[in-house]
Amino acid sequence: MSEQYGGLKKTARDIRAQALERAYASKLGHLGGTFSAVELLVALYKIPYIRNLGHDGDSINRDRFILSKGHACLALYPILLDLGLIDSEKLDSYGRNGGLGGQLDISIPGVDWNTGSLGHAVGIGCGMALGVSSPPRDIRIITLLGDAELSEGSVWEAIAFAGDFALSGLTVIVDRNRLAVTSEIGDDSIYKELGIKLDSFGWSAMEIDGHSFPEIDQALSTAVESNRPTLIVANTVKGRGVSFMERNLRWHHGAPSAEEYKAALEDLSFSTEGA
Amino acid sequence: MQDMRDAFFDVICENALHDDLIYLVTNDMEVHSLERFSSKAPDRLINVGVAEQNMINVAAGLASTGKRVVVFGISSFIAFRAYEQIRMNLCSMNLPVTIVGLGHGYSFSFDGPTHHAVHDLAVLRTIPELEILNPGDSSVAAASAEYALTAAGPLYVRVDKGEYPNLHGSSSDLTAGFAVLKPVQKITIVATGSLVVTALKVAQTLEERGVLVGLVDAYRVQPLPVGLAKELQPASMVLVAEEGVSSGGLYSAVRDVSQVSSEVRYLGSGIPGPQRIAYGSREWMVEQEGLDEASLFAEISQLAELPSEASQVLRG
Repeated sequence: MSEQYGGLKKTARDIRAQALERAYASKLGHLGGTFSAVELLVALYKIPYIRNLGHDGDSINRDRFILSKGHACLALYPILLDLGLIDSEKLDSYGRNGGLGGQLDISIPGVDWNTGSLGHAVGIGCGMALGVSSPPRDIRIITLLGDAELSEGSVWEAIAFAGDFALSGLTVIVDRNRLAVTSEIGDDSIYKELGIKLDSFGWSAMEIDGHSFPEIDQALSTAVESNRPTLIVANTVKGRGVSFMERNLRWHHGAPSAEEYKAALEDLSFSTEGA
Repeated sequence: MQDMRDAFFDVICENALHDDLIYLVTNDMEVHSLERFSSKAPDRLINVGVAEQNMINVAAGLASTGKRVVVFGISSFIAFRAYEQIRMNLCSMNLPVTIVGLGHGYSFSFDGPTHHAVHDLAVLRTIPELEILNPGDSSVAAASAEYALTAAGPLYVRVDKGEYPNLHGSSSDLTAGFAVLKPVQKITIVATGSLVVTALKVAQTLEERGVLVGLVDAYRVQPLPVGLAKELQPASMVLVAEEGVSSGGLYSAVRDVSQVSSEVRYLGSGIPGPQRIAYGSREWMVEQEGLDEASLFAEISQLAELPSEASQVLRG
């Protein structure tokens, strides 16, 4: 098991390096929220928790994943490359006119939904979970949200709906990196006793270290077997893996300079060793 | 005569009873024709409560798993509150979801401007992927329901309450997108939705007085049929009648597809002004906007340069 996680850690480092390289080359990207989500995405795609990927074959009988925080796409593209869903030429098109962009769309193999606007994925996931429940099928519906996204009222409309309809096939992961674009997202309102709130809506809730593969694996294995919709608060660090980007609002979006790029690459080689 | 809601939902209900893939989704609305469906297939009638954003998102998610989804609710709350969900999750995803907007124009006349669906066509026309049907009679309403169950992409259908005649016979072919009810003349009315019946009465009254006026039922507002422009070529005055704002509505759509020239006058007989904060009957509201039969008759009489006493006939 630990050997498996060792492989995942290496993959996570590679993903960060590739994301950094693409952002540096194109001068475009949201590295802070990309790096906070890397372990979550690697676990989902590589353990894997998302099965029967891609648009080929049966369009109905496959798991679905919506990266609601689509601006973390730079972490996803290298995973899709690793899985053979896109080629390196496609990855290299990032930031070029007509190439891969700063959000996801369904023309990209392995991508289930067009992204860019927050607050939609839980409701869409509800519809998907309802759709695959009749006739009942072993299909997982998983979404990954940013933590600022829970301010969107439509997320709570969907949380109430999923509870009312007991949509057990739905798993929502929240990348709790504690930083929005301009401000910190503390524990005083939405995140205060979130587990109790969710329980009252008929959900299961968990809180984990979102950079720990054993914890992510454990939480997801519980979530996909749960008889309730499940929300996992994954505590993460925005900019994780590059010391000067960590917990730094400046790195919500923006590209590194040549010096920063070099320093970040060196940082990446060491900083996540212990994760 | 048939209530337009029955004309539309009887077709939906009959099909949905026999097809497990059809789901109905609503924001706490009831429709008489669906009672039989809700008692026989309650699992496929999804009431999301008063949560329109979620309603469209749930519909989108359902449709992405192969279900055929018909959403229904009050037009204004869907078109405006859930605009982004419609634009992003139905239209950019090109999903076969039909939104049935109930509350055509001023049909919720006593509930104030929050309920008046007079901007819905203008707002939703800004999404090119969305097809828009606005039936003006029971046969087009029924045909729209048939179409809703086979359409390849997203569709918005305005379905009115109240009794409507059958103006088009039993044909369920909506391919043309419009129907000529009175051959195009120098003065021709292009009407949609509730104004089709009103315009037909006006045209008939004028005909009795020896004035021939053309009338086209433009039931497909988007994409507006290109053939309509060709059909309108003999006209020198085109009056576009709709129970909604002219700017952005059918009036704008007609001008968009027409070769606008100085030879042809286009007149928007729709709702011109700001939101009407007033309460009364629908007939009264429509009259206030000059969209009742007498007002239209007077307007066209003036265009036709009829003696003023003739234009007073309908006003009594």
